[in-house]
Amino acid sequence: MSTTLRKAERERSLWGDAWRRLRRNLFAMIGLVGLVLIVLVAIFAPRIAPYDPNLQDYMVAMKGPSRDHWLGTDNFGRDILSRIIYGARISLRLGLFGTIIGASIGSLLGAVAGYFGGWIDTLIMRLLDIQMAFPGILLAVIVIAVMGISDVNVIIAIGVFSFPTFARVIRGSFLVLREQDYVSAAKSIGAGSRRILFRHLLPNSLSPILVLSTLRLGTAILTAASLGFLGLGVRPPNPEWGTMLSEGRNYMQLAPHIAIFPGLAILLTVVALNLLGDGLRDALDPRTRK
Amino acid sequence: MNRTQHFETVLRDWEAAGLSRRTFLRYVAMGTSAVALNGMLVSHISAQTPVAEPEVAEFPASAPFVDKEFKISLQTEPDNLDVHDTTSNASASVDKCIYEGLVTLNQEMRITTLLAKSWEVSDDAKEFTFFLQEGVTFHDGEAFNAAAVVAAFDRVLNPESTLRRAGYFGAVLDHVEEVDEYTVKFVAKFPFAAMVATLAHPAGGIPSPKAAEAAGADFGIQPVGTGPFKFISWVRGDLITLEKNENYWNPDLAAAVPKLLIRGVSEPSALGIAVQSGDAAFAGPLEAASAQQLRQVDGVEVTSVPGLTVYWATMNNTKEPFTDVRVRQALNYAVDKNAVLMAGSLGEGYVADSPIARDTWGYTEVGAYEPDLDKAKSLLAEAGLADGFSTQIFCSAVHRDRAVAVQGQLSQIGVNAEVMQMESAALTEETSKPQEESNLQMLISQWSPSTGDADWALRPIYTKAQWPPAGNTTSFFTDEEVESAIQQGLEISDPVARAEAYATAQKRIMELAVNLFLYVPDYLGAIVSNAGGCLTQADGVTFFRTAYWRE
Repeated sequence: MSTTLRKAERERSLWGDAWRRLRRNLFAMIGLVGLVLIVLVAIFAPRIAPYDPNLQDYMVAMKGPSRDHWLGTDNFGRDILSRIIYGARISLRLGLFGTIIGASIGSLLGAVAGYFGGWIDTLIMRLLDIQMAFPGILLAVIVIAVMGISDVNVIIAIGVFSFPTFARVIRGSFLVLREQDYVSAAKSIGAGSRRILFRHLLPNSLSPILVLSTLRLGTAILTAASLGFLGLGVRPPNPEWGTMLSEGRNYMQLAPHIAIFPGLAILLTVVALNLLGDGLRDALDPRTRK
Repeated sequence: MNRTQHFETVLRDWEAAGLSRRTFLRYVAMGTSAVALNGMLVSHISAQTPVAEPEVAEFPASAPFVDKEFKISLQTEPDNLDVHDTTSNASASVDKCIYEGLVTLNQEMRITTLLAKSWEVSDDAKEFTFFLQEGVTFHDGEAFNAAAVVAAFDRVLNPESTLRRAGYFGAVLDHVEEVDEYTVKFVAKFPFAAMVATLAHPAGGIPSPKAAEAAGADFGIQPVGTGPFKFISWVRGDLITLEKNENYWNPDLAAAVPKLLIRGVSEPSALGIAVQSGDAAFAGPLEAASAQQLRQVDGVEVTSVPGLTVYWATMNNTKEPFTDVRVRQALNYAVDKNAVLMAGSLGEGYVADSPIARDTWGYTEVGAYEPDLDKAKSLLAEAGLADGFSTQIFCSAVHRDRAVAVQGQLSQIGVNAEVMQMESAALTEETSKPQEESNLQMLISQWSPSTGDADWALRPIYTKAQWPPAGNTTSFFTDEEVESAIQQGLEISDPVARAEAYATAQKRIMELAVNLFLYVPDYLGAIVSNAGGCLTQADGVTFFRTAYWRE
């Protein structure tokens, strides 16, 4: 008896599918390329930056863009291009770790609330409602005011600022997912809550977490910049973008380049992240699957 | 002609007129200006009694009265308009329109008479007798006389007083007594040669005792004085309105505009823009960047006055490694002060060449530490710190640029300073801790003596009695020679000796490199070209009671 084994067509996975759709989205690709560039700049900052970002040279203070200093210098004679390049490290790090903290805490709380429901759900969600009633930036300012100015505290502040959004989204998707047949099936063969939560539900909620993380990363970088602008960011003389923007504010009329370039850096990064985030959302949305 | 030469000329005339050199020098010690001394000389020749003539302010006597309100923007909104219950420069600026003192400081920071016609000082520098102007009334119609002065000072000297200037007067002033209706005597607790300067401070304004008593704690929002402007209203967070006092006693100093509208604008660049856009006729004090930008604008003039403020970085003299004078000197040699001046104030000021500013009475040029990295390194090596060390520079947001500049400069000699920018309330908490608990290492700080006198420039910063939490000696410095020189300056009335004592103190402080001395900033303001009579003065107080329109 001969059996003809037809080579199975390679299955199109959710992720492969999403990537294919993402590639067709021009704006998302612009965002992705932009983000990759910024990450590369951050990683290779010491090799790319023409000067030490904190090197003061009063002979060239407050000079506009020139051949030696492409983006000009500030009132200390520091090279603004070098500061922006090193600033990418700081801004990305603050945004990334802040978002990771927010996403972890938020997802955990949302998962617990969504899966167990009942009074646990009510308690967690009402507490989150209270937290969300606070303007987020105010909450971040309070965290810094209480804990003092430092990188770690800025990351914590961003985490505190962002976790309720994650919790809401995850709870929402868990409410839907826990009614799915495969969950009932897992339950019927005696799977425990932890197994269901982490093996079945969480992987299925990854795409909303990913989309939200990308979008929130932009917000987180903006929050870090806002804190820096308010003088509550990283310690001087570290070149954080928001702090640079705030430092340049006094010279807006006299030497606008000091504020404009860090402002552009923030703008471009956040736009890139938002474009990518929107693209990801469309790509991962099962309803757009063909 | 500089000030010293000017004084010498006056002294020659003075002696030629048969007046004692000693009396002359005593007046100089009080901070009396050469012009006022000339005035005394003239009146001596006519009346044989030394009288300080009121000086005419920079204000055309024939200034046409233009019936148009005058808008002023200040850097901050006043906190309280009770002249004895505020330490804010913004409040003092407004208070100077509403209240007047017996004496005041003119634009050169020299003492001149106002509500007093003249004064006399006892030889032991303990009793100060003032002869008052007659025919002056407060805005509420009450008469200004000796009883009013006594009542005003009784209010602030009252042991139960919670007024913020209670300590300022209470520390030196024992009591004030009425001699006759227009003569009062101020009695100091100890020989206090700087008493007249103390009264010339903006806090020396005389409030109407009756109104102050009637208003109680609300006097700060319904102030009454004798000044050329009456208080009308205050919308918190927005606008203070003052109106010309029609019954003002001195036609030469009367208001030349019908109304003053005063706003606080806290965003520094908006302050400059207010003048440029016509929202204000005058704005001050300005940031250096705004002033430099406004210099390029037609129709706006920038006023600039060398300040009395000195910026420095304190070093905690009781904490390693700053206990070693060589380390403190090394840091002073390491920093290029011109670079800090550039970064912090875009060059608007001058490098400090003494612990006190040039326009402070009693100033002596000591000379700054010229930047010399080799010398700095060898001094550090001698102190056993050839590889440098790590430290922290505390600062508030306003001093951030100076802190970063100092940090950058110190890195050249291997001193790794971390800039600890703190929120101002948290920083005040830190700087108020007693020596044993203090975490301070370096701190960017400043001081401005609003009396214009060396005593108030040195005593709060360089004496053990003023260590936190009592005062502002955040360097925790003490030195026998400096302490005794400052004390001498207070007790002796001979002004040459007094000036010498202060010179000794200044030299010694510089030699011991108590602080890392930086620079003296200019005070900047902007005024529209068709107006005049406004200026942010050397003490940071904005003066605008003489505001006028040019057309």
